[in-house]
Amino acid sequence: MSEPATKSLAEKHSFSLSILITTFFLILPGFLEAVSEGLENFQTNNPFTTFLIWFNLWWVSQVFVFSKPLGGFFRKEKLPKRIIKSFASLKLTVFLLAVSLILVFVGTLAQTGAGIWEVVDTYFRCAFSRVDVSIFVPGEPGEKLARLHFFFPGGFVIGGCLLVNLLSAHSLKFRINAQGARRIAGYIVTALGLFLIYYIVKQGIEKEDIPSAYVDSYKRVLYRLLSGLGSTSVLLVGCWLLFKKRAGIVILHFGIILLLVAELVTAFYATEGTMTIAEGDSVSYVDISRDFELAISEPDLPGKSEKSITISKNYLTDYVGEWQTLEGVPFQFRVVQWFPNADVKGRSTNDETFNALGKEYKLAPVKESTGVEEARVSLPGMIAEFKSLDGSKDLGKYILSHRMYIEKNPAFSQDITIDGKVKKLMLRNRRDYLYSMGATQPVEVKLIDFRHDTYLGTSVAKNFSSLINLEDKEKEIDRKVLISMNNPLRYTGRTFYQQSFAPDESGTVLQVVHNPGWMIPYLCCVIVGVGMLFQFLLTLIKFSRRQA
Amino acid sequence: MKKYIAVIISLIIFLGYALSKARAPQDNESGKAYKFLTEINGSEPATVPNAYKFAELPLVYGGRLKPYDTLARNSLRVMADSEDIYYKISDDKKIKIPPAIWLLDTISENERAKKYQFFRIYNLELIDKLGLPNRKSDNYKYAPEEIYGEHEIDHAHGDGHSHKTTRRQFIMEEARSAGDVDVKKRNVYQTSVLSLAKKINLYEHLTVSHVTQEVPDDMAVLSYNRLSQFIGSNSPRPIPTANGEWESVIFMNVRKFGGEESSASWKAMKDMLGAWQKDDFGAFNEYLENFIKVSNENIDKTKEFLDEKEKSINEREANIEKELEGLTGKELYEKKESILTWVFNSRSYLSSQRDLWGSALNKMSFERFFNHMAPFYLSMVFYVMLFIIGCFGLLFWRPHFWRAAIVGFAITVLVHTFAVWCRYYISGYPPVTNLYSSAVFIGWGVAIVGIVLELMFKRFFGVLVSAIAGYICLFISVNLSGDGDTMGTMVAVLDTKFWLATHVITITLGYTATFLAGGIGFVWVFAKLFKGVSKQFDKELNRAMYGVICYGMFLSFVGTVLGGLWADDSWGRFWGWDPKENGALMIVLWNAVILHAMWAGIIKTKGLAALSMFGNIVTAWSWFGVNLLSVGLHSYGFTSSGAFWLGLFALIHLALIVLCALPLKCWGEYAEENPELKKKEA
Repeated sequence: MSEPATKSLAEKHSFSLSILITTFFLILPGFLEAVSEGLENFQTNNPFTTFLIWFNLWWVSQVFVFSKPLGGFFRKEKLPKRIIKSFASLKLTVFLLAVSLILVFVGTLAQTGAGIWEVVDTYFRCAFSRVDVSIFVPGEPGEKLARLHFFFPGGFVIGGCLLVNLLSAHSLKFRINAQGARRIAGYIVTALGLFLIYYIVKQGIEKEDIPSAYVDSYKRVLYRLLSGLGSTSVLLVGCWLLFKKRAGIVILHFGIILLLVAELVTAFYATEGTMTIAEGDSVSYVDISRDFELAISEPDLPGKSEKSITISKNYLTDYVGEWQTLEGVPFQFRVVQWFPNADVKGRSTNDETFNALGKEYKLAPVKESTGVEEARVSLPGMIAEFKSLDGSKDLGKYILSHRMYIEKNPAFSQDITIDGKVKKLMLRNRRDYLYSMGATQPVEVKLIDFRHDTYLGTSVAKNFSSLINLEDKEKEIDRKVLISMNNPLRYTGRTFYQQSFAPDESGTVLQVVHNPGWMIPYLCCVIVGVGMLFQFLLTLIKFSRRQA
Repeated sequence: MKKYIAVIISLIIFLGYALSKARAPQDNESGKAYKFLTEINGSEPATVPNAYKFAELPLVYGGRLKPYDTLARNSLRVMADSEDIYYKISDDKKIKIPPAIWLLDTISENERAKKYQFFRIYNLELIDKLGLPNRKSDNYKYAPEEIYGEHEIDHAHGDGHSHKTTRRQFIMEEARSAGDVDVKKRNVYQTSVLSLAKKINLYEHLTVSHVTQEVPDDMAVLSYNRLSQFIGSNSPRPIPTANGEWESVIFMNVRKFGGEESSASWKAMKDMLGAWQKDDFGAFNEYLENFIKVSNENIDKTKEFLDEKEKSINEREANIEKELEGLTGKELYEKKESILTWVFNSRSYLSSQRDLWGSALNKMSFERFFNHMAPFYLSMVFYVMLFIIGCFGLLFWRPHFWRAAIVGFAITVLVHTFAVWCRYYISGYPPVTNLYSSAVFIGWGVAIVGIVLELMFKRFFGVLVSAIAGYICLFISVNLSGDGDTMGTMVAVLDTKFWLATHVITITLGYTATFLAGGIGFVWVFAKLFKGVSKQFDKELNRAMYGVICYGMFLSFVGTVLGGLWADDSWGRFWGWDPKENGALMIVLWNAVILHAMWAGIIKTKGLAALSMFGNIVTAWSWFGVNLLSVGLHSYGFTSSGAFWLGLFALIHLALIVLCALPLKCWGEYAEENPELKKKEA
C-alpha cells in the first residue's frame, strides 16, 4: 500500500510526534521544579507545582484531541465530528494502553520504597502521579536522586481517557445495522440482559449469604459465574441482533467499562477493617483500617456498643494547636502535636506537666512505614490538652498513641475525669458497628474456637479456622458459623474473612470488608470472556474457511 | 515406502529411548546395587540386598508421604546439586550408585558413608580457608570424612586473636557471623558458607534422626537435651505406630525415657539398620521383611480405625433428622448447627489423616519409577534432538526431516504430558503449585500449541520454537528444584484445588501463549536475516502470531480476573495492586496494545514480531521479575542470580527489537522480488 503523496511530514509521523510531545511535557515540570526550588527544600503544594500540573493537563488534552495532530485538524470536516473522530482514534487507544502499562510498571516498582496504600493513592487512584526517579535505581545511587521526579498521568486520567476513547469509537464505528423487527427484538433482549446484570449486582449487595460449614467454596464461586453466564448469554443474543458480527467486541468492551466502574466503586465506597476477638469474647464492631478517632468512653463496657463520645480524625489532624468545642462533647480540647507514625518510648526523667502515662512515656516520631519494613501499618500518636467547657478547669495534658490501643495492654489504659466521672481515653481505629440494614441493634460475633492445623512434621499452615457464634437479635438469628481460609462469611453487607490470629492462638483476627460492588467483577469475568471467545472464534472460522 | 523411512527411524529412536527408561530396576536383577557391592568388595555378595525394596518404604517428611528414594534424591539435590552420587574406589575409578544405597549407608553409619563426595562448595576462598584440595574435576564436591576430619584450622577473628577449630566448627562459626549480615549485603563468600552450613545441617539431620544406638539410662537426660532438636517434629518419620501416628526413628528411640516399651516396628527398623551397617545383607533382607510386615499391620489397623470413623460420620449425617426429632425453634437450629460443625471438623480431620494413611501409600513404587524415569529430563533431551532435526530440515531433505520431526515431536509431547500427569497423580494437586511446576507447565503448554501450529503450517517453526522454549523452561525448572522436594505442601490459602485448577492454569497458559508469540517473532527476524521470507511465509507468520496472541489475550484476561476473584473470595479484595497482580495486568495490557496496534494498521508483520518479542520481556517480568522486588503476597523464593539472567534475557530481546525498528527496506526484499531467493524457497 502506498501512502498518498499529499500527506505532510507532520501528518505522517503524527503518532510518534504526539507521544514525544506528551512525554516531554510530562517530564519537564519535575525537572523545572527541582531546579527552581533547589534539591534540598521544595514542596509539592506550592502554586508553581499546581500551575505546572494544570499546564500538563491542558497539554495532554491538546495532544489527545489532536492525536492526528496537525493533519486531522485541517481536513474539511465539521469541528464536532473532527473532535469525536480524533477521540475515537485507535492510535489513541494504543497510546493509552501503552501509557497504562507504564503506569502499572512504575506503580509496581514504587512498592519497594513505599507502603502499598500510599502507592495506590499516589499512582493509581489519582489524576496525576508524581514518579520519583529513585525507584528505577535501586540501592544507594537511587537515594541520591530522591528529589528528582516527573509527572505522569494517573489512573483516573488514563481510565477517563480510555473511557472517552472507547465511547467515541463505539458511537462512530459501531452502528446498529439491524432493521425492523430484528432491531426491536434486539433492543428488548439487550435491555433484558442489562436488567439481569443489574439485578445480580443488586442481589450481591442485599442478599445475606451465610455459608454453612459444609458447602464447598468452588460451588459458590461457580454459582456466581454461572449466573453471570446466564445474563451474559441474553446480552450476547441482544447485541448479536443489533450489531451482528461485532456483538463480541461490543459486550467485551462493555465488560471492561464495568470492571473500571467496579474499581471506582471500590476506590470510593469500600471499607476494610479487622475484628480481633479472643476466644469466648463477643465483639460487635469493626476496627476500620487507616481511619482513627479519639474516644472517651465509660470504663466498664468493653467491646459492646458502649456509650462513648468519639471525635473523628479530621478534627484531630486539621486543627492542630487550636482549642476546639464540638457539639455533644462535654469539654474543650486542643491537639498540641500530631504524629502520623510514632513509637511510645520511656522518658529518662518524669515529665510532671503530663497526666497519666505521659509522665513516664513520650512519643518518638517514626518515618511513615513502607511496604518492605516489618511493621506495615503506621501507628499515629498525638499530644492533646483538655479543659472544661467554660474553660475554667484544666483537665490535663495527655499523650495518646494508636499503639496503646492495638496492644490491648491494661497498663496502657488512661483515665480522664470529666464532671466528676472517670472515663477512658483512647486513640483508636474508627469503629463501624455491625448493623444490618435498618436495624437498631448491632450483630454480635462471639469466638467459640480458633483452630490452626499444620501439616504433620512441618510448621506449614494447612488451615486456619474460626468457629464463631453469630447473634442478630433483630432477625432472631443465633447460630454457629465456621469461617476458614478461602471460606468467608457474608452478612450485613460485609464479608468476614479469616486473616490472622493471636500469637498464642487464643484469639482470631477477621478481616471485614464492605464493598457494594463486590459482585461486579464476577460478571465482568464472564462478560469479557464470552465477548472475546465470540470474537476470536468468528475470526478462526473465517480463517479456516479461507484455508479450505 | 520410501516416504516412511524417516518416520520409522524417528519412531525407533524416540520411542526406544523413552521405553528403555520406562522401567525402574528391581532387586532380583543383577542391577546396579549388585554390581556396586561386587566392585567394592572384590567379590560377589552372598546375598543381594533388597535395597530397592527399602527405597520404596514410605515416610512422612515435609508434610507428605514419600518413599526413601525421594528423600535420598532430594537430599542429594540440596547437598550436591545433582541426584548422581559416585563412590570412589580408587583415584581413577568411581562407580555410580543408586541414591537409596547412599542413604542406607549414611543413616546406618556404615563405613562407606564417609567416602561419598557430595558436599558441594561454591567458593574457592572458602575451599582454601578450609584447607581442602581444589577438586575441579569433581565439581568441588567433598566427602563427610573431609568435613568432619581431624584437620585443624587457625580461625582468625576480626579482633586480632585466633583459635584452633575443626573444619565443621569453622564453617558453623563463619555461617553464624554471615547470618548476621543483611541478606542483600552478603558477599559471595558469606552466601556460600551459609549454603554449606545448610547442607551440613541437612546431613546431620538425616543421620541423627536415624540414630538407633541404645542410650544408657544414666545418660538419658543429657542425650535427650542434645538430641531434642532432632526429636522435634520436622524429622523424617518412617515408622507407622499401632496408635495411628507416623514417628521418627530417634523419637521411638528416646521414647523409652518416658517409661514406654519400645514397639515391634521400631525394633525391626533398628535391627535392619544394624544389619546394613555390618554389611550383613541376609539379615538385612529378613529384618526388612519383618519391618514391612509390622508396618503393614499398623497401617491396616489405622485404616480400619479411619474407616470406622468415616462410617460414624456418615451415619450421624444420614440420621440427622432422627437426632433433631422433637426439637423446635432455637433448640432445633442450635442442635443442627452443632451436628454440622461436628461433621465438618471430623471430616477435615479425616481427610488430613487419609492423606497420610490412604491411597498415597500405594504410590511409593510409582514415585520411585517416576524418579528413575525422570521424564522431564527425558523431554529435555528430546527437545534438543528436535532442535537438531529441525535445523537439518531447514537445510536439506525437507519433507523427510519434517516427517521425522513431527513423529518425534508427538512422542516428546506425550512424554512431557506424562511427566506433568505423574506429578499430579503423586501429589494430588493440579499441575501448577509453585515456580518449579510453573516452569514445567509453561514448557508443556508451548509444546502443545507448537505442535498444532506445526501441523497447520508445516514450516518447522512450530518445532523449533517449541524445542527451544521447552528446553529453556525445563532448564529453568531444574535450577529451581535446588530446595529439595518440588512437591512440597501448600500453605492454607493456596490449598484449594478449585482455584489452582482454574486461575493458576489459565494464567500459566497465558504466559505460554505470549512466549510462543515472541518465539514466532524470533523466527520472523531470523528467517528474514538469514534466508529471506516469501510473502506467503510472511503472511503465515503474521497469522500464527495473531492467533496465538488472541489465545493468550483470552487466557491472560480470564486468568487475571479469576485471580482477582480468588482474592475477593479469600480476603475480600478483588484487586490489591500487588506486584504479581500488576504483572498479570501488564501482560493483558500488552496483548491489548498489540491487537489494537494491528487493527489500527500501525504495525505489519515486522512490528508484530517486535511487539511480540517485547511481550516476552513483559511476561518474564510478571513470571520472575516481580519476585525480585520481594514485596507483596506472591513473592515466593527467588535468588539474585535470577536477576542477572532476567536482565540478559531482556537485553537480548531489546537488541532484536531495536533491530526491528529499522525500516523494512533495510531488511531486504521479499522472495518474490528476488528470483534467486524465490528459487531457494521453492
